[in-house]
Amino acid sequence: MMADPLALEVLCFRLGGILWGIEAEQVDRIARPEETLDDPLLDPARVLGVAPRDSTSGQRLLLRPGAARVVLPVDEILDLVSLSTNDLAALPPLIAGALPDERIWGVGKMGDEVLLLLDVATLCGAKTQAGDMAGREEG
Amino acid sequence: MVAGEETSGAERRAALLRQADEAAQAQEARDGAAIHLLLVALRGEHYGFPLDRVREVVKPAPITPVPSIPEHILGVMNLRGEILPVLDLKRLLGLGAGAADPQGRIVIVKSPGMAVGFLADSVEDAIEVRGTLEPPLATLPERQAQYLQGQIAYEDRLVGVLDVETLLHRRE
Repeated sequence: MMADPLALEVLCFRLGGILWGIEAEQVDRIARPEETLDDPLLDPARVLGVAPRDSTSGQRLLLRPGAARVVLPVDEILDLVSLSTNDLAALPPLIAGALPDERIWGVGKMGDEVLLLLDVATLCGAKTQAGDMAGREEG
Repeated sequence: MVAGEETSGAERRAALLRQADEAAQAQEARDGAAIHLLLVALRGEHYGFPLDRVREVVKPAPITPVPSIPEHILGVMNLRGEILPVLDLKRLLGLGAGAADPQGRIVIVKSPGMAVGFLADSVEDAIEVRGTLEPPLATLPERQAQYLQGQIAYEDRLVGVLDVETLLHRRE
């Protein structure tokens, strides 16, 4: 079978009990557990409204929405999946209209479960607008 | 049969149909127009969705919560490949939060350009009620009354008839 040229590579992870996805091209890499990082840390509770379930044992994603890297702590990094156009959908207008910005640009269909597709650039913009520079991560 | 008799027969039938129609209208005026509702229960109280707005009723499927949205929106569900928002009817009506009840059902309601799920404690029946839709009782909290077209008596209960458009366009 030929690969779908419109398929989207998405890194899936869980955060706050929710299944999330970020386009692979916005992901720099997965941080090693012992690694000390010098990049700005996104606070999920502030920028997303969800907190990691266990802040001590979670994993960290290094994201590159633009020129700069940011760190996003998550509960669990799952897998890199390829979503075809049939697996993608827009957020229902009732939900999209209730969000403060376009931080969730769509959804992926993963069986019964719905994957929320996160726009990291919007998140970083929200962080800046809120003046929420959480500082550098301490190793 | 001669032509004159045919005409008179047709006129008689037309007159009979007119009378039948007038009788039906008079009956409807006495009894009230028929209102078709899907009866749902919330904390023991009964509410009705206008049946012509109901697309289907499904058992609760996994609902993915979406952070940073009003709490009466439970999230999104994947219904046979269609992504639908699901609202908590109890929370909308000020009756507390929805619970994961095995009897719980999601009522999929049609609205122009979209479909939306409403979580209810249970779905009882599709009913036809004749009577007059009365304004919500003054004792009903405003939080609830604003989402009702009115109330109507059905058997031994008072059913709140839900105003779907107002429910869908709530802003917080």
